[in-house]
Amino acid sequence: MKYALYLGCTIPARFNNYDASTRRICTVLGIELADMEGWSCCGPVHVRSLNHDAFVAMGARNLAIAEDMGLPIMALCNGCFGALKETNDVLKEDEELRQKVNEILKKEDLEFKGTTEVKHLVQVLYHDYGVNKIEELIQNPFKDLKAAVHYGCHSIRPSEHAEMGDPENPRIVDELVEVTGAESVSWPLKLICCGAPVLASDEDVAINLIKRKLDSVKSSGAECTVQICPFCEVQFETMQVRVERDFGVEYGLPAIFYPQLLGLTLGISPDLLGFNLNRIPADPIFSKLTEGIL
Amino acid sequence: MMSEKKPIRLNDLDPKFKYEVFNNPDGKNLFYCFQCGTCTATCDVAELMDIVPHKLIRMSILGMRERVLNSKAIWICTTCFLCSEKCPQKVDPSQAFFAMKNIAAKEIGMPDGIKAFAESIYDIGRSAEVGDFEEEDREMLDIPKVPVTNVDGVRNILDVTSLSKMIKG
Repeated sequence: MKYALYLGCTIPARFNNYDASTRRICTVLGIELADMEGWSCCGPVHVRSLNHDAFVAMGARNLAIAEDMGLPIMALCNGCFGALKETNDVLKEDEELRQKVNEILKKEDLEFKGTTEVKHLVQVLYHDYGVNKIEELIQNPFKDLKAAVHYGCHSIRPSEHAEMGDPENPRIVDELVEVTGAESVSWPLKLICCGAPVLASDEDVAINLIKRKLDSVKSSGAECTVQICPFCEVQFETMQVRVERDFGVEYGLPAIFYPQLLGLTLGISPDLLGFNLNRIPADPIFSKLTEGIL
Repeated sequence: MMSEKKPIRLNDLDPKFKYEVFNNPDGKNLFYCFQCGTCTATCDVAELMDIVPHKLIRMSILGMRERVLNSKAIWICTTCFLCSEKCPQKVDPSQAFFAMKNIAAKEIGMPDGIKAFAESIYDIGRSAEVGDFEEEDREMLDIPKVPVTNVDGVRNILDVTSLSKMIKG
């Protein structure tokens, strides 16, 4: 099993703990990752808001690089996943648009041929690797840990492209969390937007949205949130501190990337999983490991 | 909104506006809207919008160009795609808003945060720079250096699609 690792812009600039923990769990599981030389921004919603052709061409450019590597793409960010997956699906069907885009890419000797696939990390773990195989490798499961899973919009919608299961009740990440021994609690606003995409256009709206989400998590009794997107993490972690200050509330909810959570139960040390970069200390959840930190 | 209660004057309408939206791939389903209001009912930020989603669609079809393009609502849309998922007519309202924003960005302008985002893509090929601290973090975590970005490749895309002109003036 080998994938082209599409890092995206936000992870190396803000959340190297997500990168490190992903590489560490993949090593333990035997999933090979290759970095994408020459990559660029995926063509996210902000670009789509400005110019549709640029949005498609930026995605196609990265898809063409993965095609030249002969590998499927594994994305870690929902924004990158959503943009690349939809562009890949659309360009495979729309010959006219493909020609238009390839005309732009010609200057770099790149061509979108439609030979690669785009998957999110959790889809690779769930579909390509398998929960049962992960279960066999777990050495130190959690006990009595209540975790609130946040999917993030672009991992589940539009469902015709995301293919993350039932968009009304996705289960992939919940099952991946439950295999670690943690309980995936239900919480009212689980499938609603965290507000990250409007941080750039209207911060008040973004803060309003994440406050509602955090209130909802807190009311569920969860001890942490589990994240699969660095953009959502900005809201759940960085902005959590801001909301606490602005509204005089206290959440104290560690926002943990899924591979960090899984990594602990595989016996990988918190340092190697980048926990020292988590701005909200995750120590309370370490004590929920059956045997503590190995 | 008080202003919405004023009568709509035919002379103020731009009958071609709907085709501008429709001709963008993200606006291709605009005309299917039958005003059921499901998008507005499902929208998590409708209460914060100056014009709610189903009205933006109707106003575009009617040709209320200025009001639509100057609305805050198109930029408040979180692109969560809940409305697109629920729309019984497959209008994909949040995608239609992309089409409206494409026109607004070209003619009126864009929010500062989005401009900064696009400028960064033009300058370094990515939306965010990896600073010295982050490079140190990666070294400490013993993970490879961030693979190199081909800035010229991205800039070519922005130039050819005229996005460069929009952000650089």
